[in-house]
Amino acid sequence: MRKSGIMQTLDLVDVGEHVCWVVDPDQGYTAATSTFLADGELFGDKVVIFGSALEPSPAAGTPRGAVVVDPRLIRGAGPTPDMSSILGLVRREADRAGRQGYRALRVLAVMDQLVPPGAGVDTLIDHELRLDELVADSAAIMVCAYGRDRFGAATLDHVACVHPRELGSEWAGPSFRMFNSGPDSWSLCGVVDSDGAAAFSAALTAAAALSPALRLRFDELELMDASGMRALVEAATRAPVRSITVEGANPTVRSCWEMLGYSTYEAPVELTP
Amino acid sequence: MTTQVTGAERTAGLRHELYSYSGERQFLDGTLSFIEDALAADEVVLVSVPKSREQIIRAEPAGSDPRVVFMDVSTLGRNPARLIPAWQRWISERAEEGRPVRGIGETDWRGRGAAEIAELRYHEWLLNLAFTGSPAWWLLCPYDTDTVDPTTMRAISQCHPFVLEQGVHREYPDYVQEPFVWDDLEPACDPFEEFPYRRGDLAAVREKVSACAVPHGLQGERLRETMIAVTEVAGNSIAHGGGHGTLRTWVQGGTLVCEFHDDGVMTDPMIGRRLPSPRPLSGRGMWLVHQLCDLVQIRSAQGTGTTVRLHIVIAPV
Repeated sequence: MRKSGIMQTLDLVDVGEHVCWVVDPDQGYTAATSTFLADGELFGDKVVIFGSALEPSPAAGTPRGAVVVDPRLIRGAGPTPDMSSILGLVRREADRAGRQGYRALRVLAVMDQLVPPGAGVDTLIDHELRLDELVADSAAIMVCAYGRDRFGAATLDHVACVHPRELGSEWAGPSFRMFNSGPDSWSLCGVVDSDGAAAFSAALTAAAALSPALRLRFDELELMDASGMRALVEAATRAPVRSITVEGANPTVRSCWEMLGYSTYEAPVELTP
Repeated sequence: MTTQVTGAERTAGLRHELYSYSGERQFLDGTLSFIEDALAADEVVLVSVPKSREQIIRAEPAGSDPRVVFMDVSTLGRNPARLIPAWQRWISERAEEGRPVRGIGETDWRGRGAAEIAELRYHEWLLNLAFTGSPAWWLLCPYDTDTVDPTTMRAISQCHPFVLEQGVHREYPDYVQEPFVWDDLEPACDPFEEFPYRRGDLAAVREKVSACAVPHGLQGERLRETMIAVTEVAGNSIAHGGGHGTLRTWVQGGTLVCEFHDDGVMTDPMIGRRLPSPRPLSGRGMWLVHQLCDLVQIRSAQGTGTTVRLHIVIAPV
């Protein structure tokens, strides 16, 4: 089972981990990532940096052999945000790293530079879930750095929901996290309430686009309120979803589902213990 | 034994009738005559009374007729807000069978505190509203005058448009058809914890409630259910009550009380008391709250905002 939750530093990040890092304006990228990037050499990982934000001294912060991808190549010049090129690049680099004999691909994505203006939170959630599925299925480590002053607090909170891990020390993280746990399978942990229902809904939509027969693991989900359950039912009635199977829900989640009348509702959602 | 009927004809909706009695003999006199009249008209009778009362009805010949159906409301718990939806479900199921329906509904009043009594009185008032437009049915409400204090009895009587007295079913002259007048909420028990909340604070609300409840022994599934209920009510404040509210928590007599106050107004007197219908999917939060809490008190008015008190029994006194 993949680890989830807050991590204090990037020093102990492991293969298969997908980390959200909200960077404060005065924090800077270099200090926090220098060890992470240097560890690539230590562990025999191929280092790729999407973006060129290791400023003010990029030369000092970029390890030898690291591949630095110009954000303009990824972002494109079109009016419509297209995040799929990042995904494609990560997939190609992960495959290449394996063939080149590296232990893993170690990626730092400077999202401030990669996310085109106009990309909404739903686009980011979709992107991160696709990336999470890729990271979970590859020998890769992915750190997505979001500048706090570039993205709003609500966007950052929602984006954090679709990363299993988060770098931080002062806050408790988002109320829930949803991350890949195998083919067509997604795990939820924490609490889905009205603060997180919109992010949950967007995450379900994104996951459904990857697999119309969704399997959700609720083993680590503590609570889900009426707004969360409504999001689940609504997602199940939207195309292209064929079915949603929920496994491992605790007795409270199951009894609330019954009380709300969803166990007999005409939606292809099945809750199993 | 048959009884005489006067007053409005049964066309649609509820005929809500009071039967006050003292002692088992009077209880049987009123309820058995009601059942026998129903059976003579080939009607179904749903009986929802405390266990001890159920046993004495079952011991009578009429009580063993298959058209007399006993319903165990103890499974619904103590929250009277669950009674109307239960009756609605039962009545609609029977109405589908095509037979007229009668009901006998008595609540166990023993051990009820002031807050519960106020909510039971509201439940009786609300019955008249809840079944407007439902299939015609007739509910007899036996009240044991040895158990219910006279002041409460008088207030409850005024919620019944009909009465059974001395073998005659008739309109009740004391019935008062006017908006419900609430008693003031009891003062918050001192000491209490207070926490102002706004968007993004639902986790903090849960933490505050948990910090109050856990040292008193609330744990496991009951604690999780409580967390759901407080999340729903605080979420309502944020979504509909001006974006913020104030939480107060205390434990009194083995019961956790969580009070939420915000600037919104709940205009629906039946909020959270209707069975969820297939559409819309929204608006089910207060229904869930009523299902999860032992008692819910709602006071809401223009100018004063809304106060919702959730009662969760931790250790029965």
